[in-house]
Amino acid sequence: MTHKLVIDPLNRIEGDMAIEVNIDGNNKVTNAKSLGFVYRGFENIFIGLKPFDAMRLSQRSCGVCPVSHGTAGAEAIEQMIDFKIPRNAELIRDIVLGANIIVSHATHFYFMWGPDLVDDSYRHHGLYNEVLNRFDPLKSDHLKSILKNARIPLHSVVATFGGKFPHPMHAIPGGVCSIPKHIELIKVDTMLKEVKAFVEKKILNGISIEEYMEIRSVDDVNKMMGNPSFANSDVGLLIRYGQDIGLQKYGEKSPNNFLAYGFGRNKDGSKLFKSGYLQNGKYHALDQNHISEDTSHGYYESEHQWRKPINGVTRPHPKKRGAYSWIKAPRYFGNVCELGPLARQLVNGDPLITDLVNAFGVNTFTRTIARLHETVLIIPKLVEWVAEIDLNKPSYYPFPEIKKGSGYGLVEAPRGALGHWINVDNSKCTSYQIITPTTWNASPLDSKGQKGAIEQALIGVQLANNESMVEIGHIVRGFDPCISCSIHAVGQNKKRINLEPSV
Amino acid sequence: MEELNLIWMQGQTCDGDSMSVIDAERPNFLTFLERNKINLLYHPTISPIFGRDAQRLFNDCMEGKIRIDIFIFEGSVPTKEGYGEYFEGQDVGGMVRNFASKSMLTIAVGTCAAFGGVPAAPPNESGAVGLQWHGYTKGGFLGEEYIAGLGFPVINIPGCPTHPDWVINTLQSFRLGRPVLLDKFNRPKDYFEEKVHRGCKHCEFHERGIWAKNYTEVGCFAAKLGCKGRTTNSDCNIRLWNGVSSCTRSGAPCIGCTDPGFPVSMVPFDEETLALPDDVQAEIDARKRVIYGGESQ
Repeated sequence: MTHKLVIDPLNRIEGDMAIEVNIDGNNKVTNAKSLGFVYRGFENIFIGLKPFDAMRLSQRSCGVCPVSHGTAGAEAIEQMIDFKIPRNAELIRDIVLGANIIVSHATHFYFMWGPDLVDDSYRHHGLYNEVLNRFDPLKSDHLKSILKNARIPLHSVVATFGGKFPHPMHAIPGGVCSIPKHIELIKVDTMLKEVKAFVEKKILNGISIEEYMEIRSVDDVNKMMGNPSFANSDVGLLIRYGQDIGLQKYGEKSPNNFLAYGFGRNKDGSKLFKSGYLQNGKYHALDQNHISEDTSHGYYESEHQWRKPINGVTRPHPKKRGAYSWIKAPRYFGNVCELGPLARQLVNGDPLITDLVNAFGVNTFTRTIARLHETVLIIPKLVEWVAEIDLNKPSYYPFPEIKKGSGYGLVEAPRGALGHWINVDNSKCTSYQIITPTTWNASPLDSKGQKGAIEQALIGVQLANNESMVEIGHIVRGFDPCISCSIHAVGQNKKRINLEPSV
Repeated sequence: MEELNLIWMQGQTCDGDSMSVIDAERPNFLTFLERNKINLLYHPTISPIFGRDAQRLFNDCMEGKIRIDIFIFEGSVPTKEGYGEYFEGQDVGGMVRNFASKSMLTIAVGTCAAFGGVPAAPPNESGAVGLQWHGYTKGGFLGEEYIAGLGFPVINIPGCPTHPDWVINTLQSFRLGRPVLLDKFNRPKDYFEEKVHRGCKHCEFHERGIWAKNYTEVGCFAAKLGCKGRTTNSDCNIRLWNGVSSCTRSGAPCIGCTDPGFPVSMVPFDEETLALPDDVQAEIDARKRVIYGGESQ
């Protein structure tokens, strides 16, 4: 006999989500559906607006990753005429986005994903009290200190260039509108160095970022674990405790296709994290022409074609038969992809993450390590980029009005690759399509019968009992889902049964 | 001090107001709750409980087994049938109505919850409205007559996002028994009495009539870049954001995000869209009547 377990709400993510899994007599997950709600109809609101206005509002899709949305919107408009922005603008966009990625990762790890580590079912574990000391939700002093010493100062960095966080305003077609003065750059530099010092002292427990960056393989990690400072750092604790509670067994199934749009423009034109598509370990250069979306199991009007996003439409059909999700199903070359920090680092060929995945595979443990790893990688880069800003040079080139055109903006959001596709006619948007990383990861079944990455990751997972939710929390939150901006409509036909015997 | 229960729920939201409020600095959000003995029953982004445990809590609240002192709502309310399902057997509207009917204090955080915001912009497929307002019109989801237990209507703390101080200090004012005076859109006057323009570092250029014709130019953004700072009520430039800046200070023209008309009345963002504020016009007219005896010039 199989049971259906519905976890609703699956919170501590951005937006509203529920997970429905079927479990067999041995409490193993045999099927999984990811469901999300609350339609806002953002894409259709932008139709008829000037591209500039649409871009400003498109940022409001997401309050956790507004920087990536704002940047993608501006870059989509620039791409219509292949507009090259000044170097200062590249730097400021990347600094703000980098700061947002760090904060988003830290908030996710400590406030959203971390609390599952102190689930009551682990209370007999020898390290439980130590983990509780750091992750006790809403209570631990460690969390307060992370708010104070990392999140808040990094948001001050964002605000210096963008006015405020969330929804900073710096990115506009043509560059950035930021007008920092020398003294503000000095303050930013100071704040970033303080954050770096905090991370070294309190997160890495005395290990400098320079020392950390020497860790380039699983062997190096094992050697470092011999250093008591590192072993007791948050990363070290996660490695010890995480493997003990079996995080490497959760979410092991992956489509094994990874997609990244790239982040961080170096002076020489290369990227800090490069773009690309990794299929079964083989790297291919990115071409956005290979992206298309299927809506066969989404609550959208039925279509017999997969649409490229530039030709995309959003036509809700809440009563469609056979549909179960409000997320569209984007595919690359028709293939399901996984996106996020792990995908980004695999595409980038990061030696540690590549070695780690060779040793442990793709699972919620390696996904989380990749997230922490890239957080550390970005910090020193920000300091470098701030030093490169030259206030004697422009950060904005006057941008012409676009009467007709179409373009795309591809950036990395904290939780994976994000794209905006815009068509303009008569100086107004005629279509605006957004494909967020969570649209990929939490996508439903497509017309070829392929399930999305989160659904795949859930299948085959062994639950402690037929009501256990913590394993599913580990896995789903391990993808850092951001549902609000991924979902184009809200479900109404969803079965509302907590634990229902079914066939 | 008696402990107060706070429940924070969301409708059609981007989570931005939550993300903003947890950036509160003095004190930080968690310490603020502890010091003021506010028990955060539930928050969608940071609460440890989820799934059936969360549903049990909601049911206990709805059945009155757990008292709701403060009900904070973020995001707009979808009113069109089929667009509002939330938790088992509940739609967003039902949950809002239930919690609002029991709370002592109901606070709409962010422009979406207060006035409808972006989701309520045309074509508004989901029928989104604010808790007690839809744009400049009172009514919204709970209706004009709604009053929470303490005798206040829905307190609107708008902004896209809202500022952490506005939320935390409003709660603090109630905790300390200080008066919270509301403006005509039920926003606390403490934060929404002044215009964004006041304290803007570009005021000097405004006074001299020096207008920035393009971004990053020196000058006031009002005439040529559509800055809404002169018509938008918010103390952004006095309070500052994230301790250091504001939209106009950083170089971005104000887009009027705390106004009930945001975003509909604010686009195009790069053109002037609003006339002289009513209250300023009324003051001019009143003064003219004093001087010229009712014959307006």
